[in-house]
Amino acid sequence: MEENKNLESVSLEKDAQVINGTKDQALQEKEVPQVNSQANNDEEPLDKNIKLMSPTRMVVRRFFRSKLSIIGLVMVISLFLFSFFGPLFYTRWGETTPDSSPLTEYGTSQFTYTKNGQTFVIKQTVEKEMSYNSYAPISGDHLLGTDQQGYDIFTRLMYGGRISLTVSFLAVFVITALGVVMGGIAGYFGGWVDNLIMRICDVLMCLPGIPILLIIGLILDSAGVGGSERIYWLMIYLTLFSWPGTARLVRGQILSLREQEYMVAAEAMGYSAPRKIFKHLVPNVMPQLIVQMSLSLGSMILYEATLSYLNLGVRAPFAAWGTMINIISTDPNVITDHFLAWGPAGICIVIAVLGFNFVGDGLRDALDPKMRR
Amino acid sequence: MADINELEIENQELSSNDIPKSTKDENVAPVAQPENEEVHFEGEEYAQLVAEYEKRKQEQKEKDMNEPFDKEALLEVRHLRKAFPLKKSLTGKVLSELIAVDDVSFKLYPGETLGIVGESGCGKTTMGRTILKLYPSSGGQVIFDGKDITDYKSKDMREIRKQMQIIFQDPYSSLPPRSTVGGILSEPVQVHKIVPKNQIKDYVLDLMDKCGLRDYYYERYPHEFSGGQRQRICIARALSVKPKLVVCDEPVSALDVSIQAQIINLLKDLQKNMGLTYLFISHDLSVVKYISDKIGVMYLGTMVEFGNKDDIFSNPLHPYTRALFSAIPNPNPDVKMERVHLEGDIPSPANPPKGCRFHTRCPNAMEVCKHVCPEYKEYEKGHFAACHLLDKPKLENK
Repeated sequence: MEENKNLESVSLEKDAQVINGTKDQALQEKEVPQVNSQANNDEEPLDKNIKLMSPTRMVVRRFFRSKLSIIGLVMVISLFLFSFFGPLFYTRWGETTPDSSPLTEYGTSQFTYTKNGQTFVIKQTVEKEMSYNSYAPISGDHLLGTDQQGYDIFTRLMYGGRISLTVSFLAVFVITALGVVMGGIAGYFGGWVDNLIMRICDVLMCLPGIPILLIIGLILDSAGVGGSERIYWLMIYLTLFSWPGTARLVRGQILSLREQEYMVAAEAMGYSAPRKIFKHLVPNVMPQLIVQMSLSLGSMILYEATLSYLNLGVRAPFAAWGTMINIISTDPNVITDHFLAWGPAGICIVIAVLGFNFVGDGLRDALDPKMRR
Repeated sequence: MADINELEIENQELSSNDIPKSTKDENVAPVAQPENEEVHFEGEEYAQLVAEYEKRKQEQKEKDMNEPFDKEALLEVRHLRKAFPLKKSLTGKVLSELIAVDDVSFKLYPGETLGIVGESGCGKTTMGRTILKLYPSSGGQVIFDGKDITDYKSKDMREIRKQMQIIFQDPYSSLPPRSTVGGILSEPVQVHKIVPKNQIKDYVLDLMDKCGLRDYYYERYPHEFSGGQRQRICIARALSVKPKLVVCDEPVSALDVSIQAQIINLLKDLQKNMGLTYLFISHDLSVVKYISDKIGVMYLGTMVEFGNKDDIFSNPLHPYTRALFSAIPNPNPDVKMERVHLEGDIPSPANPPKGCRFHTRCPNAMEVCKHVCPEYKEYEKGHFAACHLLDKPKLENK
């Protein structure tokens, strides 16, 4: 409630700035006493020509006034374009087509040893024939080089982004939908329904995440689920166990909104319960929900990356950012010698999570005028 | 602007001339002069008297409840009671409760305005909302338009809802912040199918015109309006479903005085044009005097006096009503104000006094008032009151 009032006051103040252009007109109007006296003898008649903004537009304006949120938005949007439209244009390499141009690797070594006072030097050259072009450096052929198996890293980044973003978006939407429905029902009806749903939430929040995911990973192994589908199964589990956070948020909001007089008015109007919940209560919870969604998008990307890194989620030969970083566990030298094999994927994860968090923070500030600095 | 809350707590002699002289003495020291009392209330006799009274009350209540509905009345309220549970045992049994409305009865005929006055916290708003079934009642009957709606389920209520509407006190919190005025006003029309779909906008614009809202407000949001305009939107919303009865729950108390007059006049005009019936709840006596045909005075959840406006103002029967009316300021400086000052605060409705609820503050309380709750009876035609003082001549004759 307080929030709403605050929003109003700020918005009015904002309006004064917005209408600057038409302010003179407004003043003129005021000097003419009662243009339309039949219609209204009320206080401060609003000028017809002044375009006032809807609450949503005001939020958008405030959002774009913060640099950080614009940066976040740019980061997120460019990642999207990169992942979803990139592969349409950069078709030189596929996700699972290695660069199989043979590579001959030469290694030289030299040993010195002394026997019977004589010093021997043995020079050795090893010629290694590889079936694919592994750890290629940056070149016109491979924009970011290749990894151990000769996969093009640039291409795999795009495909990895696809799966990370898709999976986390799906998960967040399902979580939000579940959370809104369950939290809405609990908050609106109260009583034993509320108790039941909240206790289910408590139980779900008690379950340890990673150990259960490891077990599910094993089950998927034994069921022989393929490398690109596994992540969806794991995310279904994550979704089913992550909605309580959203449900609690929605329930709390609805509990406070339910006591508002406009909800009593809706009751007096004889609206049905679904109408009251989904047309009157949920739109007023939307601000908090949007913030929650954008912040949990970041954490879902991290989750996805973690699972893939642990080799539970997306598995080679399919690409995901986490899987790409997983390469450092195969060979200890990679972390020092071949930064290109794992660095870009890590940077992508950082950009995605940062971007979503910036957007979330920006939205929260835009929706909550009390947070102004 | 006689705000009841401002009744001063001051000891002053009673000014009314309707009250017999002897009662004044009791006011000073009711216990010290037991020989002045008409009836003694001790031991068996007391218990018997109370039991007798309770029995009579119960019989009267049963008789009232079984009476046929008044065909002409739009709203008939019989022995309405609303209690909020304060404490519950583990099994859900109510251990203590707050009785917000107790045994309120009245009739309201079409086209009339009933003004309900009383102090803050006396249950006016709760009564209004219980009549609309926004709160479930805990006893009594509400008969609307010849139908007993007391036991209606929320599904059945939906049909009735469009015939009875409410205007709230606070125009700031009673409008949803995220819809436009047009949306707020057309939603009820659409839900209740008042007019065909393609005529909704014309209907709403017409309604807005009637309520003094300009047509270009249609696309605006509530936060862009001032209190008076918001209250107009609330009125338009209430009237959008063509109700018969409108409960006005202190519709002007959040507005400043100049706007109050506009809103009151708007309500009066709309009543004339649309044939509305108002249940007008207010603590502002001058507003109630201006708009009402009938007046009900409430104290601590009970109706202490009810009657036509003229009867009540010219001949207030209950001492509380007299105290209330004496608080209306007179603009003529030459008239000496004779104020009845009430002592003490309004008692808690969670623990109301025994007997007459007003006896703790009544300037003319008798011994009987402390033990027996007075009956709500018709003393003049259409003029009801609940006070032992009015029965006193009879008691003396005995």
